[in-house]
Amino acid sequence: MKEKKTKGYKCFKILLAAVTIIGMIVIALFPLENRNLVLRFLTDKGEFAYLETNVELANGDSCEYLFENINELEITEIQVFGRYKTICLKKMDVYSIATFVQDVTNGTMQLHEKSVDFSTTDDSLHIIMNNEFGDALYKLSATAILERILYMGTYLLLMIFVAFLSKLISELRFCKDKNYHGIIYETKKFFADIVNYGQYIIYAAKTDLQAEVANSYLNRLWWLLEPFFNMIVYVVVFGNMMGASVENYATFIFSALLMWNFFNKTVNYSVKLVRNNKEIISKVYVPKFVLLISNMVLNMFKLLFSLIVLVIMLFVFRIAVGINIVWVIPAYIMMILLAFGVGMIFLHFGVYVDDLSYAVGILLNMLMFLSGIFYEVMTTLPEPLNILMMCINPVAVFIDTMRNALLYNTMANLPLLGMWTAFSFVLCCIGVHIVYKNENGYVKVV
Amino acid sequence: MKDVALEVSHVSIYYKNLMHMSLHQSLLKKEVKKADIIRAVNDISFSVNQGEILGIVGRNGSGKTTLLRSIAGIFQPDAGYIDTKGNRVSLMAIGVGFNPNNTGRENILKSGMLLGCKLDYIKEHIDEIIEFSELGDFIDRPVRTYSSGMYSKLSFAVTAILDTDIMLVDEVLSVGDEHFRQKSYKKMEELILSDRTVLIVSHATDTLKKFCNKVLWINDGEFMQLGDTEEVLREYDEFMKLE
Repeated sequence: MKEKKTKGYKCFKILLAAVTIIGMIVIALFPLENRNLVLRFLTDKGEFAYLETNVELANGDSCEYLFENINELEITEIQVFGRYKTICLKKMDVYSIATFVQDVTNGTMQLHEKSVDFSTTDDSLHIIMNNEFGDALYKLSATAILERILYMGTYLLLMIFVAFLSKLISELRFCKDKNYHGIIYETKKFFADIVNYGQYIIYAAKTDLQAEVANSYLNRLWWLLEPFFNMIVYVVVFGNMMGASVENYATFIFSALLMWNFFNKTVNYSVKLVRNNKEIISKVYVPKFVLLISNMVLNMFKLLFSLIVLVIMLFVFRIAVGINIVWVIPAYIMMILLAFGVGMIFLHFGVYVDDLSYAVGILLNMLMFLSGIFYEVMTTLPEPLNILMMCINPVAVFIDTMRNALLYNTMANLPLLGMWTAFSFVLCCIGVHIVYKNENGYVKVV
Repeated sequence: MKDVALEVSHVSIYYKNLMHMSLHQSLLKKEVKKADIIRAVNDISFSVNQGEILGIVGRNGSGKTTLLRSIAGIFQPDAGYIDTKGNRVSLMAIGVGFNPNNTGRENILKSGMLLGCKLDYIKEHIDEIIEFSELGDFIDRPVRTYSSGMYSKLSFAVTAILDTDIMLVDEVLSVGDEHFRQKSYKKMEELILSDRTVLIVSHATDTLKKFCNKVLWINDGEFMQLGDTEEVLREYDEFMKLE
């Protein structure tokens, strides 16, 4: 009886994996039709949106824009959107706009530092763009990397959900053993542990903080000084290269650096967690994630401290903050989930593999430079790479979301953020599962 | 007939000899050979009633400490199960996770919480612990400034004062100077004679004879004998002499 069940389950697993892989390939190769584009002109007289259909773009029709009843217009930026209204595919700055303009009917164009000014003697302003502009738009219309990745991600999530569900059903129907490490058992244990060790988590974080500052002269000030001086170094080093293209470069870097530091510290700590806490682990049972969470609480407290500096910087540089700032919160939630999930998985492998900490150090270093902490991913990296990096690099996703919300008061790239939050959550589940399953063996190895 | 406080049934614990692997080794997937598996505890069953005191004897390396650790929940047995009937278990060992940079007081609270006590309960008893540990002003200094004697005195005090239902004692009676040793011995006596369930691992047969109701003898992870203190210890002594 038992064997039959496991055999059937194995078949189901293989089938599920096959369906997943085939589905992924189909999505990757499926000929998606060219998409319509929406152009949004940011001007001194408000926003103007124009639709370019895929047919027009494919025909190579010239792009003309009519602004009715307007004689003078200052355009600061053109944003191109695809199927999703929240995903900005391309931003054109004033210089590229100026090169794209072919003619203004009965009028002139003037290029300034912050805007391109158009004026006309007619009643309405009529701008005609050149072929290069049409080609650029056509390319954007034809490539669908972003959509493909989103579909793939959603599909993968769906499959993971099905796998979860099947596990749950098989646990409910077949398993009577109480000690079986199933989903229900682990969820119950997880929340019970959180409740039981909650006091310890808070208290340990508090005392560790105290111990950290007890012997230093500048004590709490270090939490401010460390990110602050880091920021100054980066501003000096990268400021000349990137600073011209990014406004408020100091705030731009500092806000990203705070998130990155938290993520970096958590993952780095988790690799060596079991070894560093050998004293505790070999003397008494404690769920290992409790130690990780305690460290995260500690880092969170430091983060809050540096957030004060960030708020001050917002005031000093007079950055207008709007309602869209609320999107900072989901960005942080995603970051915390991701840090915990990745941390738990590295925690497990860090026990068995001695030199993992070096490898993780190198990986994190690479990730730091790929995630656009010093630059804006979408505008700085070359064309297909930037969208790819935006989609498959979760660190870039949360940093970009946070920056959009904080500095530019624009909405987050919601589908992408949602997808990665779900993936982070899945990583958390997998991490907790692996650690619960193996944590009793850690003492024997360390 | 008293309730069973602890039940150990057919417990086996293996150590796989994989120890530390490097990235290169783990990528090549070196399989663990069967011969590398060490059976530290092999198919041992016993149960202890509420308030009973069980002594465990055996040669060095016969799996006594391993057994205690798995009863304390530090690791799970590879086969069989251990049922503590919902009792809180504490392993009396030197230093329950002391962080050397924290003060003694903070460490008392932290390790108390790790033993499963509530914060209020520990705060009630903290003065008692500090008094017992004889640390005086040192209690508010970081643990790294302690001498080794002070360190072990503090850890003994923590586990001795904070009540748990089942106590596992692993040769911790030789702590500190002569004065403290006598004191801790007295405290142990007091604890053991109160209505607690205690498991003692010791090589000192005199101690076992004095306290224990029953004695379990294991040799190289194998179950040898379980029964009346006098009887088991006599055979154990004879066995050791022959060697």
